[in-house]
Amino acid sequence: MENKDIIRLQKKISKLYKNIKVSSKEDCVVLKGELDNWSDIVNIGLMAAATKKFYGVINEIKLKGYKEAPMRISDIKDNKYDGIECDVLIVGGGIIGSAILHEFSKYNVNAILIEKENDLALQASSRNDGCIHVGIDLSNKSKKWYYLNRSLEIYEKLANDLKINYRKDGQTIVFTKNFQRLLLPFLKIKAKENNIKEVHVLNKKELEKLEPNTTPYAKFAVKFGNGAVICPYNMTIALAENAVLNGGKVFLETSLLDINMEGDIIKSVVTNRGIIYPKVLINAAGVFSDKIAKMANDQFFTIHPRKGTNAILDKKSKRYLSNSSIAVLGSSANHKTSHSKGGGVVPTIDYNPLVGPTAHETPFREDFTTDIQAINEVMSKHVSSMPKLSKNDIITYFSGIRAATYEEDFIVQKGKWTKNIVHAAGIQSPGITAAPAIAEDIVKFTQEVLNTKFTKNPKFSYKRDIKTPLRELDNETRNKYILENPDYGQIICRCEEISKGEVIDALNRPIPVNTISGIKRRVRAGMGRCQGSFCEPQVLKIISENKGISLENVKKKGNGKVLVGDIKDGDSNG
Amino acid sequence: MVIVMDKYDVIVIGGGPAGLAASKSACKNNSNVLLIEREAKLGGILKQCIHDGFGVTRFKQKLSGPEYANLEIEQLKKEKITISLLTFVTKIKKLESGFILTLVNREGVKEVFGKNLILATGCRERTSKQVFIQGTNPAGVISAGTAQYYINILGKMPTKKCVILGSGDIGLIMARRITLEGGKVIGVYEAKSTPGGLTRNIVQCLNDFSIPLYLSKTVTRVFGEDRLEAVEVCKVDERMQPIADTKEIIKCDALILSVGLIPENELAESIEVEISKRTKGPKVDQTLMTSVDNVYSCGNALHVNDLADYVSESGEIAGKNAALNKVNNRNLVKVTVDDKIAYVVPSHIDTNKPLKDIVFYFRSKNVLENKVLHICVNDKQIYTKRFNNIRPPEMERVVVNLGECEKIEKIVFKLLEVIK
Repeated sequence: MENKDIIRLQKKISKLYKNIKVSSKEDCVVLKGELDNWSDIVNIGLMAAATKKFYGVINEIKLKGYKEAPMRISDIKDNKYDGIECDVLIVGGGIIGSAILHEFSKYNVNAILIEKENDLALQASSRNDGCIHVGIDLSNKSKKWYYLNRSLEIYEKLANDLKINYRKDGQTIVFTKNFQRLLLPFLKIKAKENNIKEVHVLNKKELEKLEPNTTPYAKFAVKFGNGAVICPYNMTIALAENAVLNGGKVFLETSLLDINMEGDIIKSVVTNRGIIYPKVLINAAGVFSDKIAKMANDQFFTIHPRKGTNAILDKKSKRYLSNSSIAVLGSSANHKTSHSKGGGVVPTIDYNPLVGPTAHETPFREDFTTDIQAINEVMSKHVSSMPKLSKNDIITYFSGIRAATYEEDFIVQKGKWTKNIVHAAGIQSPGITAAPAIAEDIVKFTQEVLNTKFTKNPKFSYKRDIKTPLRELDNETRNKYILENPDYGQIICRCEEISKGEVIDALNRPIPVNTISGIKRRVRAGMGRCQGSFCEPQVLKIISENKGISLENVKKKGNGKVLVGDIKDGDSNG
Repeated sequence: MVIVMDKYDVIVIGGGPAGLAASKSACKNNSNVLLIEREAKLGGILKQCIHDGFGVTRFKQKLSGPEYANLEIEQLKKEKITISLLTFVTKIKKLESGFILTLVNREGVKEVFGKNLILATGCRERTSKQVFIQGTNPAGVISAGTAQYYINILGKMPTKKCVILGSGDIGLIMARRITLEGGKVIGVYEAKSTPGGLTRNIVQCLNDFSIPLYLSKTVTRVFGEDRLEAVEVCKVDERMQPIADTKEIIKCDALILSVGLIPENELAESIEVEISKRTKGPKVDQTLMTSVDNVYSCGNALHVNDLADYVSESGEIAGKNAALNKVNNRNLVKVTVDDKIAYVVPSHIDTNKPLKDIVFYFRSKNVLENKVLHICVNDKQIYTKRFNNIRPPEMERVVVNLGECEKIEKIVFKLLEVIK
């Protein structure tokens, strides 16, 4: 970077915005000032990144009148983990952190993962569409593509090894105009460049046969046979559970509060549960990864949170269930530069149609609220691919926050200034897909930081003591389980057909969980069309009985208790 | 290993009031009956309805839900019947001669055969997301039925201070119940311009306890990360759309929802029973047989009732007809309604089945005064009844003899003005 790049950018920005100061920190650009409008702040960051002249963009422009909401942290304050030393400390229990812990557990490395919430995968890793992407929209110069491409080689086997369903439905792009056929040669070249196999052009007839519910205006389609779906949170949990069985450690409700530095070395990490002394810190903190980098004097990037909302429909709404993920070209990308997938209609791993997502910039890093505009937006947007989509079939909806950087690419590397930090930051779509490959590289970089070569963990095994959901078994096998344990024959969730035995099993897995939402995510009790109206009290009772928690103290999620106390004693005639 | 499958004339799915009555009447008509219930006790939702008002028509006395259920269960136990509790139907397979059901319970998985099926599977509550409430997803947003379970069965309070959305009967009853147990109900909010519950419940549950009812107002958003902290309420326009500048934030720890019931017909749909868009229950003829021969529907699975007495009555009709088990060539004539009537059950008449004294249930779309119900067969008026006051929450019941009509081709229900 030369000084003239800074001057040029300053001029460009000054034409549009007043009082924005552009400066440099070595080869990074630093943006300072104050503006009224969040989208302007994001826009300036994107302008700086678009020059491609800087190592990174540090956008410190403040939003007028906005006091940044503090990170959600656990209420617990104790010294449970005080003084613990470890080789690596991973910050963040999303799919990236969990995949990294899993990768480390293959070696003789003392690795600990800390997660501020009371369960894993509570943020972006559970708030997405669960697609395993093929990467047709990515530049093959990007890290996004690099890690996606490597992951696709290993993902299906990894999922199978961990007993996680991986369904290769494919992803279909539908074209509604004949002239769009002109795009086909380019698409084919791009597919070849991006190492995408199983690309099939479907004529109208073939498409109608394969996807009878898609738009009648379709002229032709391209199907990418390697596209798949997965349950993103159960994949995260599986990686972490298997890591724990192989010697990794997971500390829940443990928030990183501060980092103690000595020169360019991290000495210790302050948490709400004591000070931990790692040799290397791994930053997998999602939307907070730039904050962690800053605490470690290693901030060369900035996260600008981007919110996305998805809607989930009743699985019985067969009239628009597709056999692959479907998007219509031209209906998607509402985001100008289309950094995330335009979305579509996805048959989830559990066969619920999922519709979405939206993409909206926001200063709030943990704002998981939904609004009616977003629901209307996803529904109206995707009616073009599935004309019979109806709002009446929606059973739930949710929002997630993508941890986007201004470069809109992943950051997977050793620290720039600090010696013993490794970043897996700025991970957004296709992060679920890329996670296993990112984890491989993080282990490689950690060895470089420690200037050592890890020895293999001889006891490592993919074994996971987990049953196939009983509803998926044939009668004979299911009967065998019930004879062993009658609780497997007592159905407590009627919509998803989940037994009491499966709930009890989920409470006692290698990473214990005791919230209703934790059970819901692991076994699907409460995921169906009644959304837990019938099974919530049953799950609550089972948690209470099995975990020795009083009924009043059972939590739905986080600290949210379901009940507030006893009814009045004795008589009432209500 | 050869397993000899148990065989029944009639299998009833669901042991609530509809299933109890259906089982009893099928037994009385000399059928070999299996009653399947997924919970540990019979009675269905009546078990948690400890308020009174049940049985006025059927037992000529005011009973609580559990009392009503117990009377039904006692009567049923006099019959020779097989009852399978804590048993869940995972699959129904349709054969020429009947149905094979796969059952799961604590003893294992087994299959049973039934010549006739009665679906008495009840209904479920509409959820907050199905009425598009936005915001966070905290603890403390629960359906009225779930709140009722916590209070009446577990003896635990789900709220200290709450807002209730929806003036359906369960919402009104829970408003009183929460108040009696020391909780505060800030108000009952109803998006429609008229209350959704029975008049007697408005009086006895709200007015008697000075709980305010706000009409044409709805909850649009909830706040609070882990536990509910507040709700946003809005006035709505004539099209029930929230008016943005009427937002009001109310602090509370729970939002209790009574925003409608949906008949549960997933099993019915699995064997391709046709479902009515109006009632969300199966289309049936006067014997309560659905579009699939030998499959009957009754109670709240058929259409949402406001009185348990009517639920039992429909169970009785289905049970008796399933036992008599006569399927000739069906000749179905659709019962059509005018624009003032929301729906009529049965939706069809089979002219090849008995036509004497048919029980019809119907609801109006809006609150109406001084109307006359006209029933016309082949454009000829065959029945009239005057209604001084007719309200959507209160289902109307008429018994009509179509036995005298010749060659029925068209049946129409109309609500006309009273001619003075």
